Amino acid sequence: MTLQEIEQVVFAEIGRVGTAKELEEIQHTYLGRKGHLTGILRGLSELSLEEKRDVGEKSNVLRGRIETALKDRLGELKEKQEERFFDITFPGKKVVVGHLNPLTLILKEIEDIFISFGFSVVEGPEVETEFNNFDALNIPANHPAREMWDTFWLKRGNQKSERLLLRTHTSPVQIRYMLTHEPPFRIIVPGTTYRYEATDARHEMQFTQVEGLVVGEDVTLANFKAVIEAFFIRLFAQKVEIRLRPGYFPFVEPGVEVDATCPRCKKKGCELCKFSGWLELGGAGMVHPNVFDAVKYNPKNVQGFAFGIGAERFAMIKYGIPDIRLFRSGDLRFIRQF
Amino acid sequence: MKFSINWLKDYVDISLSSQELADVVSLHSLEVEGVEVKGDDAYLDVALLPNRFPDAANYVGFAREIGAVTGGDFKADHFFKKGKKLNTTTNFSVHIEKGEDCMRYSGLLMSGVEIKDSPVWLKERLEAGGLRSINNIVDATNYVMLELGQPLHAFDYERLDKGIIVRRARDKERMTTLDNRDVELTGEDVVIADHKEVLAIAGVKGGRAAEITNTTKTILLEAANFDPDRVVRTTRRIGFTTDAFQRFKYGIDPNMTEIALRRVAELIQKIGGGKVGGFVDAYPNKVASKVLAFSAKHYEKLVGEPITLKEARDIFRKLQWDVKKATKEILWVEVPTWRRDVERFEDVVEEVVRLYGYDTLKSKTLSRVSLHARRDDQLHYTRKIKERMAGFGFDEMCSYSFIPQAWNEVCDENTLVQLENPVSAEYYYLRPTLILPLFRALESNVKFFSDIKMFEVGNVFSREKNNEDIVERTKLAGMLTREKGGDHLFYECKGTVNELFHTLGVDQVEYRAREEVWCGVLIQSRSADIYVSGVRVGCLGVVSPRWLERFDVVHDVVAFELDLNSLLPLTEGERRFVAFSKYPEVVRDISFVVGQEVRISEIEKIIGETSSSILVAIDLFDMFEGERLGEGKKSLSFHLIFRSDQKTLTGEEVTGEFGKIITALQERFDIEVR
Repeated sequence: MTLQEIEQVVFAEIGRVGTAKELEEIQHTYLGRKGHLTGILRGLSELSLEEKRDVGEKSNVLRGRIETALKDRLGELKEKQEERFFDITFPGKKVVVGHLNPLTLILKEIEDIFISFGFSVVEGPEVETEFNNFDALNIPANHPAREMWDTFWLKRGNQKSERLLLRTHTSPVQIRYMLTHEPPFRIIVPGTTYRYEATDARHEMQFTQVEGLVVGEDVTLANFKAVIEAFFIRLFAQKVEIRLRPGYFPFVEPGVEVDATCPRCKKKGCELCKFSGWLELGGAGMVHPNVFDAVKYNPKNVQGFAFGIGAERFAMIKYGIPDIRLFRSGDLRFIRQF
Repeated sequence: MKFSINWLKDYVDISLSSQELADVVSLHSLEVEGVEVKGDDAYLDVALLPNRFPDAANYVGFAREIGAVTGGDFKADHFFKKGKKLNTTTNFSVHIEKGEDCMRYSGLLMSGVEIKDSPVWLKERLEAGGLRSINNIVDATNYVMLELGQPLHAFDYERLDKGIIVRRARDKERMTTLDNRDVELTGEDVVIADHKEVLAIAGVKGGRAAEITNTTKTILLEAANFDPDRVVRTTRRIGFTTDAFQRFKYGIDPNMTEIALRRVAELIQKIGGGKVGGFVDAYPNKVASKVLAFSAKHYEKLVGEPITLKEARDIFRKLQWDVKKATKEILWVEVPTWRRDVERFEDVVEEVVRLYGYDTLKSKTLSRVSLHARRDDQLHYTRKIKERMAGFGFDEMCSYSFIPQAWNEVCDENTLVQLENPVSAEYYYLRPTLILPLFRALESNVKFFSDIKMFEVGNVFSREKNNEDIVERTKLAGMLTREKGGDHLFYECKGTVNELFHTLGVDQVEYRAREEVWCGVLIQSRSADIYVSGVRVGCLGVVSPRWLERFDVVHDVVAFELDLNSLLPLTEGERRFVAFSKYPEVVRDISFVVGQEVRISEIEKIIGETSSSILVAIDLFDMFEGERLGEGKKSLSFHLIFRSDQKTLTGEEVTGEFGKIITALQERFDIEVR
């Protein structure tokens, strides 16, 4: 057969076959060791140099086309075989993945927002000295304000050594940080804290706080308002209004309570905000000069704000968790939902 | 404290509804936690924190605050006006033994009073204030305490022996309280006594000795100011408190005693008759008001919003603070002694900003970019670990840091950190390991799930032996259980740990047999210490069936724990790329039978020592035991992978190397090649 003859019949033949075996036969007939096209290539030696080049090239092109046509046809035949009943509604195979505790999820969100504001994340120990947890924060011994923090105290063999406790807030890290760093800085301190109190759906003896501290020459309360506003808007992914009210925390002056408009009902009033339209979200204020004194900063040269928010509370609001005790319940039926 | 709005109206004009009043007070002054309507009256439940308790935990003080925030007229000024001078010529005496125990002691005598029931209006008001009516005299003192915040006490003057002495109790001295409690006192307690016996525990409770009775005619009214610390210590020791104590605890303006005595005398005359007699006042160190400077410039620097001196002056007027002196930039304001919380400029700023209104404060962006931000490595790695563990199918636990008292049997009690005040025996010690709380969580979940993998990252606590120091470390622990777990579970857990190490860029990992029993929960023969670069970083092992039995856990449980404080400094952080070899690898398999107790690590060690650098990997792909092999034997199959970076290896080279390895294994372990 000549090249033209092969070209005229082979593609039609390929189009007609119905099985893979027939395709193999065609391959054998044309491209096999004794095949038609192979024969033409073998006969090249008898041709002139010019003809050799011409026929050789054409044969190779044709060989390529035949190979492609064979593969395409084989693919078509295989696809046809797949055209039987197939139930796409059969359940997907379960992939086993673990779940992060919603506390971890909310902390990551909170931390990432503050990191994007240029804050550093700083941590500190959960076992603290009485000095760092209270005295240095302008809460001297016997001050009635100490009653605001019901405290777990640790047993020590030697009565004379300094009393240790489980920190009642992450604020002592303010002291640790300022004693070892110079302003200006902006930090947040996430961490576990403890209160000696009865637990219920809204109260825990162990919970997670995120403390913020920004100190510089001219950091103002108005700056705090901007930071906390931007934070809430990012966290709730919607416009929220901020409201500051007078509050009392001995380590700040002025001290404020921070409320935000309820992100669930948008100020209309719902169960979550107890129909007030507002949620209490934390405490804050301008760092008390006595705190700067305690860390050997000169209160005449520096000022700043501090704030504290509860991580569980945000997780409860964002993820609709009704009971704060669920976070540490260890219940997989809870954790596997996140 | 709950305030009746009708009663408040005696002292301040209120035109707002109770809810409106609650809102405006919350925004500018004190948090109103609730409004309760009762008949034609409404009550505000006000949260009084320690800073404002001294001045605002009484009707007149709170009314003054309402006047400041609403602009309503304050109508109780007359209490504070200097009245007619009291008669101080009396032969009655007051002696304060220790000045620091009692800042002031004022006494006022009244004669010819008639003891009887209180009028209905008084009874009703006391009830509104949560107090029980006793008789007109006692009720009058309690009423004035609610009204002005100054606790008062009335003694039967005729039953007093000579004068009043404020002194320390003698050790083991006793007193019977008005409510018939027998209290034993110590030299640390301050008491009010006459020359014979104790009449009252200072700042806490009166005694039976000079109690008002139906036949009392002449009374001594006491208004005093005691050292809060000492009063607190006494109540702590004797174990009960009173309404009066709550007020002394937070401190009271010592200038209130005379004001309160004049007021109560006026009231008693109205409801019990009698005549005002002599006034005795022991007040050695008079407390005067402070004058503080208020600078508008400094205010703006702190708050971030300007204010004019005119506006500030207006706010001081609302607070009833006098401006003593003014310049273009500064106002000198006199802070009344009832505001004990206002001590410095920042305190004055708070008064101004809250009354001016936080709502007028505009947000101002923190402008400059902070260049001090840096990566917190601990946070970075902790997140990476948590996400990877979840990827491995482990659920994240957050446990309490406390473990039950009963669990001290599996721990070394000398190293456990104990609470002084545990909430219960269930939450008694601080956890020395995360494995125990994880096990507790596992135990509570096995009734719902049979296939459990969980982990936790958290801090653990221990006491160093013979040392006071408490050591706090951050750990990662994991635990898994499954039906038909078997030995495989251990290796699955080990594989997880290895993959985690890979994530962290840790390569030099070694598992060694445990040297000491640890924590009683893992079986020693089935647990390993984990070393990285020669440093012990954790352990891995099978939880003891004894422990499983106790908690009715039926399937095998394997756990591991890593000390992140030790591990993280050993991590590489980022992995480095290693170029691929251009030459093909040659795989030779070897299968042999060997004694059951020969460890894989020993075999790998011999293979590694014997072969040259062309052996790049050893991979155990099969192991089995069985009767066919004979008692105490196991069969192992390895892929040995050979490759060179310089050339394609020839068959002879690989065969030579392979032969050397087999010989070495035969010599060392008496293996039988299959």
